[in-house]
Amino acid sequence: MEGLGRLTNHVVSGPVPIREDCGAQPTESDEVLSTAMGGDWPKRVRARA
Amino acid sequence: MTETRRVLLDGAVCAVVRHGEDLVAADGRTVGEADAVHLPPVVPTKIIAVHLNYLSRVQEFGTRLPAAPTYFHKPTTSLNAHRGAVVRPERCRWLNYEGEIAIVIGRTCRNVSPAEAGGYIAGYTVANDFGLHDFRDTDAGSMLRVKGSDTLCPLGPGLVDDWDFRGRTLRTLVNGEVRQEASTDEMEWDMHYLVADIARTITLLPVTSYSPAPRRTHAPSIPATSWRSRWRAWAG
Repeated sequence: MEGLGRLTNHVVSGPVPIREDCGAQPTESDEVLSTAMGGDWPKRVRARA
Repeated sequence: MTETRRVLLDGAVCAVVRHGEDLVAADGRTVGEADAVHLPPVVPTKIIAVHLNYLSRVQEFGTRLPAAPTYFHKPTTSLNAHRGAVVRPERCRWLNYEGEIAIVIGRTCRNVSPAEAGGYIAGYTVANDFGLHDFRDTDAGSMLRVKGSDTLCPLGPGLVDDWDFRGRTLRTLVNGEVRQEASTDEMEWDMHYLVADIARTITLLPVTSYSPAPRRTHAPSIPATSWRSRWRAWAG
Protein backbone atom coordinates (compact mmCIF):
# COMPACT_ATOMS: atom_id res chain seq x y z
CA MET A 1 0.00 0.00 0.00
CA GLU A 2 1.46 3.29 -1.09
CA GLY A 3 2.83 4.95 2.03
CA LEU A 4 1.83 2.17 4.43
CA GLY A 5 4.24 -0.56 3.43
CA ARG A 6 3.92 -4.11 2.24
CA LEU A 7 2.03 -6.78 4.17
CA THR A 8 3.17 -10.28 3.26
CA ASN A 9 1.53 -13.56 4.18
CA HIS A 10 1.48 -17.12 2.96
CA VAL A 11 -1.19 -19.77 2.96
CA VAL A 12 -0.66 -23.16 4.56
CA SER A 13 -2.87 -26.22 4.64
CA GLY A 14 -4.08 -26.99 8.12
CA PRO A 15 -3.52 -30.64 8.94
CA VAL A 16 -6.68 -30.95 11.02
CA PRO A 17 -9.85 -31.33 8.91
CA ILE A 18 -13.10 -29.59 9.68
CA ARG A 19 -14.98 -31.90 12.04
CA GLU A 20 -17.85 -33.85 10.56
CA ASP A 21 -19.54 -34.81 13.80
CA CYS A 22 -21.16 -31.42 14.38
CA GLY A 23 -22.27 -28.31 12.56
CA ALA A 24 -22.64 -27.37 8.92
CA GLN A 25 -20.15 -28.79 6.47
CA PRO A 26 -18.25 -26.93 3.74
CA THR A 27 -20.28 -26.36 0.57
CA GLU A 28 -19.54 -25.44 -3.04
CA SER A 29 -22.64 -23.66 -4.30
CA ASP A 30 -22.65 -21.01 -7.00
CA GLU A 31 -22.83 -18.44 -4.21
CA VAL A 32 -19.62 -19.81 -2.70
CA LEU A 33 -17.77 -20.02 -5.99
CA SER A 34 -18.95 -16.69 -7.37
CA THR A 35 -17.86 -14.82 -4.26
CA ALA A 36 -14.58 -16.63 -3.82
CA MET A 37 -13.59 -16.25 -7.46
CA GLY A 38 -14.96 -12.75 -8.05
CA GLY A 39 -14.38 -11.60 -11.60
CA ASP A 40 -12.67 -14.90 -12.44
CA TRP A 41 -15.78 -16.99 -11.82
CA PRO A 42 -16.33 -18.78 -15.16
CA LYS A 43 -20.03 -17.90 -15.38
CA ARG A 44 -19.16 -14.24 -14.87
CA VAL A 45 -16.38 -14.44 -17.43
CA ARG A 46 -18.78 -15.97 -19.97
CA ALA A 47 -21.39 -13.32 -19.23
CA ARG A 48 -18.87 -10.58 -19.97
CA ALA A 49 -17.77 -12.22 -23.24
CA MET B 1 4.91 10.12 9.27
CA THR B 2 6.01 7.62 11.90
CA GLU B 3 5.63 3.87 11.47
CA THR B 4 5.27 1.92 14.70
CA ARG B 5 5.42 -1.85 14.78
CA ARG B 6 5.09 -4.57 17.39
CA VAL B 7 7.69 -7.31 17.32
CA LEU B 8 9.10 -10.04 19.49
CA LEU B 9 12.44 -8.76 20.72
CA ASP B 10 14.58 -11.04 22.86
CA GLY B 11 11.48 -13.08 23.57
CA ALA B 12 9.19 -10.25 24.66
CA VAL B 13 6.62 -8.05 22.94
CA CYS B 14 8.17 -4.71 22.08
CA ALA B 15 7.06 -1.58 20.25
CA VAL B 16 9.57 -0.36 17.71
CA VAL B 17 9.80 2.46 15.20
CA ARG B 18 10.98 1.83 11.69
CA HIS B 19 14.02 3.78 10.55
CA GLY B 20 14.76 2.61 7.04
CA GLU B 21 15.60 -1.07 7.25
CA ASP B 22 15.98 -1.02 11.04
CA LEU B 23 13.37 -1.31 13.77
CA VAL B 24 14.40 0.58 16.90
CA ALA B 25 12.99 0.09 20.40
CA ALA B 26 12.69 2.86 23.01
CA ASP B 27 15.67 1.43 24.88
CA GLY B 28 17.83 1.55 21.78
CA ARG B 29 17.80 -2.13 20.86
CA THR B 30 17.66 -2.57 17.13
CA VAL B 31 16.60 -5.39 14.87
CA GLY B 32 16.68 -5.54 11.09
CA GLU B 33 13.27 -5.39 9.50
CA ALA B 34 13.98 -8.57 7.56
CA ASP B 35 14.91 -10.46 10.72
CA ALA B 36 12.08 -9.27 12.97
CA VAL B 37 9.24 -11.49 14.15
CA HIS B 38 6.19 -9.30 13.71
CA LEU B 39 2.98 -9.14 15.70
CA PRO B 40 -0.16 -7.28 14.61
CA PRO B 41 0.73 -3.57 14.96
CA VAL B 42 -2.29 -2.95 17.18
CA VAL B 43 -4.48 -5.02 19.47
CA PRO B 44 -8.00 -3.90 18.65
CA THR B 45 -11.11 -4.47 20.70
CA LYS B 46 -13.16 -5.01 17.58
CA ILE B 47 -12.66 -5.25 13.83
CA ILE B 48 -15.41 -3.90 11.62
CA ALA B 49 -15.26 -4.23 7.86
CA VAL B 50 -17.22 -2.62 5.05
CA HIS B 51 -18.92 -4.62 2.34
CA LEU B 52 -19.05 -2.81 -0.99
CA ASN B 53 -17.29 0.55 -1.23
CA TYR B 54 -15.32 0.57 -4.48
CA LEU B 55 -16.57 1.07 -7.97
CA SER B 56 -14.18 -1.51 -9.38
CA ARG B 57 -15.56 -4.21 -7.12
CA VAL B 58 -19.12 -3.26 -7.95
CA GLN B 59 -18.26 -3.62 -11.61
CA GLU B 60 -16.43 -6.87 -11.02
CA PHE B 61 -19.47 -8.43 -9.41
CA GLY B 62 -21.97 -6.85 -11.76
CA THR B 63 -23.94 -5.42 -8.88
CA ARG B 64 -24.85 -2.01 -7.46
CA LEU B 65 -23.72 -0.09 -4.42
CA PRO B 66 -26.21 0.01 -1.56
CA ALA B 67 -27.66 3.38 -0.58
CA ALA B 68 -25.40 3.44 2.47
CA PRO B 69 -22.43 1.36 3.67
CA THR B 70 -23.08 -2.07 5.19
CA TYR B 71 -20.69 -3.85 7.54
CA PHE B 72 -19.63 -7.10 9.12
CA HIS B 73 -17.54 -7.99 12.13
CA LYS B 74 -14.35 -10.03 12.39
CA PRO B 75 -13.45 -11.33 15.86
CA THR B 76 -10.08 -10.29 17.25
CA THR B 77 -9.08 -13.97 17.37
CA SER B 78 -8.80 -13.80 13.57
CA LEU B 79 -5.83 -11.41 13.87
CA ASN B 80 -2.61 -12.32 12.16
CA ALA B 81 0.63 -10.45 11.45
CA HIS B 82 3.09 -9.54 8.73
CA ARG B 83 4.68 -12.74 7.41
CA GLY B 84 2.17 -14.86 9.34
CA ALA B 85 0.73 -18.08 7.94
CA VAL B 86 -2.92 -18.07 6.91
CA VAL B 87 -4.42 -21.50 7.55
CA ARG B 88 -6.78 -23.19 5.14
CA PRO B 89 -8.27 -26.12 7.05
CA GLU B 90 -8.40 -29.50 5.40
CA ARG B 91 -11.74 -30.04 3.59
CA CYS B 92 -11.92 -26.32 2.71
CA ARG B 93 -11.05 -25.12 -0.81
CA TRP B 94 -12.35 -21.60 -1.26
CA LEU B 95 -10.00 -19.34 0.63
CA ASN B 96 -9.65 -15.94 -1.03
CA TYR B 97 -8.10 -12.60 -0.21
CA GLU B 98 -8.84 -8.87 -0.39
CA GLY B 99 -6.16 -6.24 0.10
CA GLU B 100 -7.44 -3.43 2.28
CA ILE B 101 -6.63 -0.42 4.38
CA ALA B 102 -7.26 -0.59 8.13
CA ILE B 103 -8.26 2.53 10.02
CA VAL B 104 -6.94 2.54 13.58
CA ILE B 105 -8.90 4.47 16.17
CA GLY B 106 -6.84 6.57 18.59
CA ARG B 107 -9.41 7.74 21.12
CA THR B 108 -12.90 6.83 22.14
CA CYS B 109 -15.25 7.74 19.35
CA ARG B 110 -19.04 7.95 19.49
CA ASN B 111 -21.52 10.18 17.70
CA VAL B 112 -19.17 12.39 15.71
CA SER B 113 -19.60 14.05 12.35
CA PRO B 114 -17.61 13.01 9.27
CA ALA B 115 -15.77 16.33 9.57
CA GLU B 116 -14.76 15.47 13.14
CA ALA B 117 -13.93 11.79 12.54
CA GLY B 118 -10.36 12.36 11.37
CA GLY B 119 -9.47 13.61 14.83
CA TYR B 120 -10.26 10.16 16.24
CA ILE B 121 -8.05 8.25 13.82
CA ALA B 122 -4.56 7.46 15.09
CA GLY B 123 -3.30 6.06 11.84
CA TYR B 124 -3.60 3.39 9.23
CA THR B 125 -2.19 -0.01 8.41
CA VAL B 126 -2.56 -2.60 5.70
CA ALA B 127 -4.99 -5.50 6.05
CA ASN B 128 -5.77 -8.61 4.09
CA ASP B 129 -9.35 -9.71 4.54
CA PHE B 130 -9.10 -13.42 3.88
CA GLY B 131 -12.36 -15.32 3.52
CA LEU B 132 -13.08 -19.03 3.89
CA HIS B 133 -16.04 -19.13 1.56
CA ASP B 134 -16.76 -22.82 2.06
CA PHE B 135 -18.94 -21.63 4.94
CA ARG B 136 -20.66 -18.85 3.05
CA ASP B 137 -23.91 -20.74 2.53
CA THR B 138 -24.25 -21.79 6.13
CA ASP B 139 -23.11 -18.54 7.72
CA ALA B 140 -26.41 -17.18 6.45
CA GLY B 141 -25.13 -13.67 5.84
CA SER B 142 -23.25 -13.20 9.11
CA MET B 143 -19.93 -14.25 7.56
CA LEU B 144 -18.82 -15.21 11.04
CA ARG B 145 -16.77 -18.23 10.00
CA VAL B 146 -16.11 -17.03 6.44
CA LYS B 147 -14.33 -13.90 7.62
CA GLY B 148 -13.80 -14.60 11.28
CA SER B 149 -11.94 -17.88 11.42
CA ASP B 150 -8.50 -17.93 12.99
CA THR B 151 -5.61 -16.33 11.04
CA LEU B 152 -7.90 -14.65 8.47
CA CYS B 153 -7.08 -11.05 9.43
CA PRO B 154 -3.44 -10.20 8.83
CA LEU B 155 -2.58 -6.59 9.77
CA GLY B 156 0.67 -4.73 9.30
CA PRO B 157 3.51 -4.43 9.00
CA GLY B 158 3.17 -1.18 11.00
CA LEU B 159 0.86 1.58 12.14
CA VAL B 160 1.51 4.78 10.18
CA ASP B 161 0.36 8.14 11.47
CA ASP B 162 -0.17 11.39 9.53
CA TRP B 163 -0.94 9.42 6.37
CA ASP B 164 -3.35 11.00 3.91
CA PHE B 165 -5.54 8.31 2.38
CA ARG B 166 -6.47 10.37 -0.66
CA GLY B 167 -5.06 9.47 -4.08
CA ARG B 168 -3.21 6.38 -2.87
CA THR B 169 -2.72 3.15 -4.76
CA LEU B 170 -3.26 -0.30 -3.30
CA ARG B 171 -1.86 -3.39 -5.00
CA THR B 172 -2.30 -7.00 -4.03
CA LEU B 173 0.13 -9.54 -5.42
CA VAL B 174 -0.19 -13.32 -5.45
CA ASN B 175 3.07 -15.17 -6.01
CA GLY B 176 4.56 -11.95 -7.38
CA GLU B 177 1.73 -11.27 -9.83
CA VAL B 178 -0.42 -8.15 -9.42
CA ARG B 179 -4.00 -9.35 -8.94
CA GLN B 180 -5.56 -6.23 -7.49
CA GLU B 181 -4.86 -2.57 -8.09
CA ALA B 182 -7.02 0.43 -7.36
CA SER B 183 -6.96 3.98 -6.04
CA THR B 184 -8.46 5.17 -2.79
CA ASP B 185 -10.22 7.80 -4.87
CA GLU B 186 -12.56 4.98 -5.96
CA MET B 187 -14.12 4.90 -2.52
CA GLU B 188 -17.78 5.80 -2.49
CA TRP B 189 -17.56 6.56 1.24
CA ASP B 190 -14.23 7.77 2.56
CA MET B 191 -12.55 6.91 5.86
CA HIS B 192 -14.05 9.80 7.78
CA TYR B 193 -17.57 9.07 6.59
CA LEU B 194 -17.25 5.41 7.56
CA VAL B 195 -15.98 6.17 11.06
CA ALA B 196 -18.77 8.65 11.64
CA ASP B 197 -21.36 6.24 10.30
CA ILE B 198 -20.44 3.30 12.49
CA ALA B 199 -19.89 5.51 15.57
CA ARG B 200 -23.52 6.59 15.43
CA THR B 201 -24.41 3.41 17.31
CA ILE B 202 -21.14 1.63 18.19
CA THR B 203 -18.44 3.00 20.47
CA LEU B 204 -15.02 2.74 18.88
CA LEU B 205 -12.34 2.29 21.53
CA PRO B 206 -8.61 2.97 21.72
CA VAL B 207 -6.38 0.06 22.60
CA THR B 208 -4.68 -0.74 25.88
CA SER B 209 -1.43 1.18 25.99
CA TYR B 210 1.91 -0.54 25.97
CA SER B 211 5.51 0.60 25.94
CA PRO B 212 5.70 3.43 23.49
CA ALA B 213 8.44 3.60 20.94
CA PRO B 214 10.91 6.41 20.26
CA ARG B 215 9.34 9.62 19.04
CA ARG B 216 6.00 8.50 20.44
CA THR B 217 6.98 8.79 24.05
CA HIS B 218 4.26 11.33 24.73
CA ALA B 219 1.54 9.32 23.08
CA PRO B 220 -0.91 8.13 25.73
CA SER B 221 -1.56 4.88 23.98
CA ILE B 222 -1.33 3.00 20.78
CA PRO B 223 -4.74 2.94 19.15
CA ALA B 224 -7.17 0.18 19.44
CA THR B 225 -10.18 -0.38 17.42
CA SER B 226 -9.16 -1.38 13.99
CA TRP B 227 -11.64 -0.65 11.36
CA ARG B 228 -11.25 -1.67 7.84
CA SER B 229 -12.27 -0.34 4.51
CA ARG B 230 -12.80 -3.13 2.09
CA TRP B 231 -11.24 -3.06 -1.30
CA ARG B 232 -12.24 -5.46 -4.00
CA ALA B 233 -12.37 -9.23 -4.04
CA TRP B 234 -10.36 -11.43 -6.32
CA ALA B 235 -10.21 -15.14 -6.71
CA GLY B 236 -7.57 -16.75 -4.57
